[in-house]
Amino acid sequence: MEHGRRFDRLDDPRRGHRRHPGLVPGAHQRSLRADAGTARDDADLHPALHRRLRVGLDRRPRIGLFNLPTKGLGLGEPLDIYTYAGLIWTIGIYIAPYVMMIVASALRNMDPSLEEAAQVAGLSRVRTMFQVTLPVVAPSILSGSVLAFVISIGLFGTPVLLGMTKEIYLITARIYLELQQFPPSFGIVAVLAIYLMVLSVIANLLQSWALRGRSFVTVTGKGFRPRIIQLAAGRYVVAGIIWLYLLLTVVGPIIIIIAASISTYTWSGKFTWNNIAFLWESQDVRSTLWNSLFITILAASATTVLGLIVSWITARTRMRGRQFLEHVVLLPMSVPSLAFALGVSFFWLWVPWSVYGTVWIIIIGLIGRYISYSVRSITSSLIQIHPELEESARISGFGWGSTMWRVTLPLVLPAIISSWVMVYSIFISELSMVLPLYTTSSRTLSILSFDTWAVGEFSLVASLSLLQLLLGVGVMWFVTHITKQRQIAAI
Amino acid sequence: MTFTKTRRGVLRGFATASALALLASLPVTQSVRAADATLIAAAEKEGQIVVYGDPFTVPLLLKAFGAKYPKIKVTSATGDAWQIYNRFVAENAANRPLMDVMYQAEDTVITAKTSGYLANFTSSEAGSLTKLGLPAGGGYVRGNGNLIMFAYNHEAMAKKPLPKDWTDYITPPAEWEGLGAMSNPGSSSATFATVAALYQTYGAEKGGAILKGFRSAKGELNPSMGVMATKLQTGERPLDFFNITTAVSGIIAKGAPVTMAVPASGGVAQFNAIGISAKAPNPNAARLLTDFALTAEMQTIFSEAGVYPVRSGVASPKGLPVLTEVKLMDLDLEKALKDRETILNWWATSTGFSYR
Repeated sequence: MEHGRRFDRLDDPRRGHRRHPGLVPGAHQRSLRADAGTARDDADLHPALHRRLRVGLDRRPRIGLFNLPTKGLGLGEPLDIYTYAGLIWTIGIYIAPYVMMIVASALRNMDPSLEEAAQVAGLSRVRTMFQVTLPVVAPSILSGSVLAFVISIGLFGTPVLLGMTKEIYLITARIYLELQQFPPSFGIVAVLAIYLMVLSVIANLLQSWALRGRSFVTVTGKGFRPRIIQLAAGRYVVAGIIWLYLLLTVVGPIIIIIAASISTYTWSGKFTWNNIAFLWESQDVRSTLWNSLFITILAASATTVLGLIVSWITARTRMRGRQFLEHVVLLPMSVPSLAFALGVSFFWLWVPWSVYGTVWIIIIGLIGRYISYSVRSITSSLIQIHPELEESARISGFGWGSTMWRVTLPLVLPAIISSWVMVYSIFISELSMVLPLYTTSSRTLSILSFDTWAVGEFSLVASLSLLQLLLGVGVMWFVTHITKQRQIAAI
Repeated sequence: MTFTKTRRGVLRGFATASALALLASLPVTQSVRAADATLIAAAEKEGQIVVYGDPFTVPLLLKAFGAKYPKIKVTSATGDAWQIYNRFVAENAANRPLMDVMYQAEDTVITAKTSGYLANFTSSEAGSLTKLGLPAGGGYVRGNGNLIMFAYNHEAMAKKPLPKDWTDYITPPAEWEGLGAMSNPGSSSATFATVAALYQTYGAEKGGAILKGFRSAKGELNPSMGVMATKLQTGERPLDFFNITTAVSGIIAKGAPVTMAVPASGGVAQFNAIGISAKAPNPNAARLLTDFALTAEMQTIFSEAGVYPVRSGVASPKGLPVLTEVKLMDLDLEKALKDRETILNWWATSTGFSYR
């Protein structure tokens, strides 16, 4: 949250250049696998390997970049990624961009006159932040927190990869292990998944309870322009802190990925361009790239549209059962992707329509699994907008459609774009959801990189990771560019 | 009847002998081709094939098969062997059989066979396979092999004792502490094969001592052999209890400081097997693909990709020991599968790790 606030409203030097890097962990969440070997039992570890390689290589025993200097100085190895702290760190920096996107869109929608009034009344900037700004964007902060919590409890790659070596088992790790067994006990998987869903429901109910009876409207009929907070001399300190964060979580890991992609193998010290040339020479890359873009763009768009509809129903209508609808939509948030994908697979097996084995089952699965992300993002923005704006439009003779198109949508556009970018960035590298559902004709880049990992081509995997990173960041840049409005840019 | 040895006669003799030699090979070739022509026509009439299996070998196979038979549309699903197997079972249970051919770890194919999911067939290429290519029980055929043996990072282990045999782990040297890694036999077919071989070769007590020794040296459990291979090449965990050639041969070829060594008592041969579904929607295409997988052409492609061929006359992958010559531990995989729970529990008790 603080990350989001700092990025979006402060005048620290070159803040515009920080939005894209800040989102890279999300955009590139699973874009580097470190391991070679037999793929039979590696499938679902791939996403975690991306993350771990981005943040864990510097803290691994004997080879971690941060540990090497201390070891050389005879100070031992103070950092260990295979711990609870390592797990928390890895998952935390993975999820931070999603929280940032939600909070940032809320901050952009906030009327600065509220803060100005507080400062006129004599409040310092810090007190203004704590007493005005943060309470006003509380729905987004809570929404981001709940999102972070339910995503965290649903992750299984990172817990398996980092936890198993020290016998730290989370519920998701148990689910993963169970699905690797024969015969699998789907009953155990279901019970464990229900545990996670119950936790998710409790988190959502707590959020509803915390916000009940309070208004968080910040966008009313009165016009405003977002204001940049002047930090004066403190701007360089803030910039330094933020850049340090980016260095640790984004820049450093990307340098590692680039180094890996031009190395003959891991950290051989011998360099080659062959792995980069592979990206445009390989027919496999071309076909899977096309599939990835088709699936990702279609699924992200459908997810966002459906998320908008659900958000609008829950935030703007009095329809019976709307709260139930929201809770149902949010349920899959904490179910591990692999388990959810198997559920989708089994369901469509027993349904007469023949989407099973096609590209459409992947798209349906992705929408079902991730629509909650979109709902979270858009709802937190929608409740900031006073209905009087829509009512004024209706009184002026606009129909429902025109009001939606010309009033509501433009106002929630930052959240819509944030939502689209968020799910796009997940889908472009999603593996666990795709793995049980894909066939040759619907093979994606993530499957290709998984297969490449399976045969030990670490450096090729790194180059594929760079491609996925470019696809993520490139599309973010493109989306921002075409909006042509900095204040409503998603990123 | 008398024979006069003239130069012409001798030449005629040579010509006759050559013709006979050619004819000796022709009947087989011609009969196979005749059968192939019928099979190809039937397979092309079906027009498609669905293959489930191993993520490494199946893409290689389908790429070559698709190039040779472009009229047959190829669809596949690859991934974790048991997960893919469970998908196949679920489809059968839903009465929507999609899979024609299963090409994956032998333990899953045996399980499919014993569960009655596979058609009994004999490949027309069976006569050209090595003794390792044909399982004793029949009902399926092996498509390629892998070798499981010791693997270590020779740079990181330069000044440390190296394992020579499995029994070295009973009392592991102090220098091995915190260096070893192994994977989970409950989820990894290759790991199960190795653990089962230790159980069958050394028995529960001595085999258990080996596993306990590994754990006493602070050996860690990794989620997969792939994870182990990465830690091996980076030096993070430079002493794999064992690893598989498919995971390690590629990085060795690229110059990674990794060595694979056959234990004195023997390594473990692990195979990918080919089974045809009893409910295959495209049985002719399935037969054609199965036969194609065992041809010299495809087996050579496998070998060049670093996996062991099962066809006679096709060389082992470069840089790897010859599978038919290397010392192997005896492994009765069918029996091991019957004792699966016992073996897994024995492993869990000996190592202190949980397999599920």
